[in-house]
Amino acid sequence: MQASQVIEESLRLGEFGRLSGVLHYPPEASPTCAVLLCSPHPNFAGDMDNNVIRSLARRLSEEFIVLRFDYRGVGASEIALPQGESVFDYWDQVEQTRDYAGALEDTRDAADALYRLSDALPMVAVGYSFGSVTGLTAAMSDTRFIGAVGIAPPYLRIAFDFLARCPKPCLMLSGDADFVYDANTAATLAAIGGGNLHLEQLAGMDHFFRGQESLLAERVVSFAGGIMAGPGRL
Amino acid sequence: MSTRHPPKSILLTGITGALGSWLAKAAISSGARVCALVRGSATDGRRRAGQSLGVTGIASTDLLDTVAGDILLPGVAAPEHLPQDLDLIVHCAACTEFRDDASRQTHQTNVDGVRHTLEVATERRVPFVHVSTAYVAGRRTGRVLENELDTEQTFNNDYERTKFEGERLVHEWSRQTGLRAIVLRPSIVAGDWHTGRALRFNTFYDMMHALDVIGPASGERLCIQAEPSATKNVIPVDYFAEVAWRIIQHGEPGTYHIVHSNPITLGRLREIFSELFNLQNVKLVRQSEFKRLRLNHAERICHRVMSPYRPYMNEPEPEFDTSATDAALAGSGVMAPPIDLAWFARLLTYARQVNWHGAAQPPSKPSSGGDEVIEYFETFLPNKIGRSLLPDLRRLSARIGIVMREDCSRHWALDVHEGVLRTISTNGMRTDCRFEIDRRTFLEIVTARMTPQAAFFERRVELSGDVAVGLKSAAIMAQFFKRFPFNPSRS
Repeated sequence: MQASQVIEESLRLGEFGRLSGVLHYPPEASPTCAVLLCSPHPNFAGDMDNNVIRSLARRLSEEFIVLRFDYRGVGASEIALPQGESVFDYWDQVEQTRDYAGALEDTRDAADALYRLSDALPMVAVGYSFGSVTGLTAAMSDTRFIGAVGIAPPYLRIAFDFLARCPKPCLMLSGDADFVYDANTAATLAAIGGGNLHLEQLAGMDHFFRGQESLLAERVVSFAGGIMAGPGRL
Repeated sequence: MSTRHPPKSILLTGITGALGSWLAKAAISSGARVCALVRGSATDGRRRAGQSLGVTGIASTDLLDTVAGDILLPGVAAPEHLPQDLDLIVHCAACTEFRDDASRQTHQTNVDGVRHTLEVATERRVPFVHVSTAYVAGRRTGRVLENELDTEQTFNNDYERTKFEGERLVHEWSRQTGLRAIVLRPSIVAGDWHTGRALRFNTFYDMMHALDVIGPASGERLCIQAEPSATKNVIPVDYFAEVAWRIIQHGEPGTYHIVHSNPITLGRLREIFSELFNLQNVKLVRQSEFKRLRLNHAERICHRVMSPYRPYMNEPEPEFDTSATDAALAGSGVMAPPIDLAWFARLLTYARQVNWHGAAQPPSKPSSGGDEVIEYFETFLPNKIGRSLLPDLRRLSARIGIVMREDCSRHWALDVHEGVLRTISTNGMRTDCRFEIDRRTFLEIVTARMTPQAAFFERRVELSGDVAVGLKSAAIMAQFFKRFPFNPSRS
């Protein structure tokens, strides 16, 4: 499949089209799976044009239908804020309080849109950094998702204990030079995650995967393909 | 001295000083030729005069001459070296030391120096402009008229007393010779309002420097002995020079107060310095209460630094009449600019750039050789100081370092506090994060042709230090560059 044959389509999603997204799909193929890409935190270079998200979209869309989107207030996505509050301050507050309700609502809206646009294909959530919180949270509680991938999950801030006895295949990828990686959290997760949870460290990679996006994308494609192939193929 | 005969050739003393440099600029900008009296060798004197003028923004001019001399010597210079076609003498040279141990030097400069310079005016039969000070009023309170000098007032220090004596010499000289004299009495003069540049860093600069060194100590008390309601009449040096030159060109002989019509209170100054230096617990304490305090380390430093200025911290200033100045400025539209946080931030930025010792550093002239970067940090970005980077932004406080990859000696630090750009420093301020970037990428970013994030993903920018703070800063700066793109051809 040639990447140039992939179509990119900008769209609005969510209630009244409040969120902005881009759908990628191979028009000549018959994808069997849809992938929801969840971006990093907006205040940490996080939007759907992030290098990792774009690379994943390019590679994954050679085989799957892919949706990437911007959270509220980011890019062309709308946000309703009280007078005198900036978007940056809103998202800073989200980070400080860890109140992710808004971001999770956005992720669910994106999942609804992808499910509808893909004609109800089974979905895999792939989230990068903060996106691993939103994507995996959505995936674990939504039966439409058959698996998930968390890239550079911020173990230093989030314990990911909602992945205990992980109910569906889930891959957690961390660079061994990632500044938000925490070995203790990873070890705990490995102990409680059960057989569906796979933790991997990628040698020589930091949190940003600059110049190594392709390698990362291949691993994600391989895992998603394995989910589709059935048990024992991950 | 009237509008019909503006001065064309002046002898100036004190060009290397805080006021003389800017007065020279005003004169040269109006087309007058300035002959500056400078100490030392002819070569060294020319260099220092040029450097001082450079700090004001005049990088080079053919309207500046220098003559080797010294106001401490009778006649100040060899007569044959002085300009032959002299219209006017402007005497700015003074000693502004408040220390008790500088008494002899202060008298020699501020009294004998005036006398010697007046000798030249007598010899050449030219008018004399004398830069005195509003504080010849000494310990007077209430309203001080411009035509008043000796009301048997007492003085706070030798500086005030010797300036009083020097001014008295000028008035006596004018009466005896029949030659015209203009006496200018500025209040406290600090850096240029637009650029923050200055040649001397005394009076409240001493306090700013102390606070800069002490740094923000989390919540620790900082008591300063001062009366909050006392005012400090501060004016920017460019305002002083503009008013002074207008008076010289258009005014009648006489005495002129060059002061601010709305002097700032020490209480307001406390608020400004608290914001500027991120201090949480600064208190102004009256003398009686201050004596009972057990001072901590920072308080001892501040108290010692401010000791020469103690009389000015506790007593009310007089109200300075400006009738003559107002008449000279009538219809000009010239007004004193606001004394606000933004101005103090610019003063602080420049003081840090020159490491607080007033080393004359002429502004860099943009050239085709990569100096757009310097232009950005020295001309474009300072205009944003005191302003919020983005509307309603409050939750970003960071010190952001930027280093040019081609030359690590070219580095700047931006101090952002609660979303507001406070200072731009080149003196190695400790930063939370540091971006290392090449010139081409930097210019693409600040002209909004590329986002900092995209540059980072392409490895054209490297980030060190606190990565989270760096990423947040990049997110903000991306929007800032889009909102305020840099255009080198128009800056």
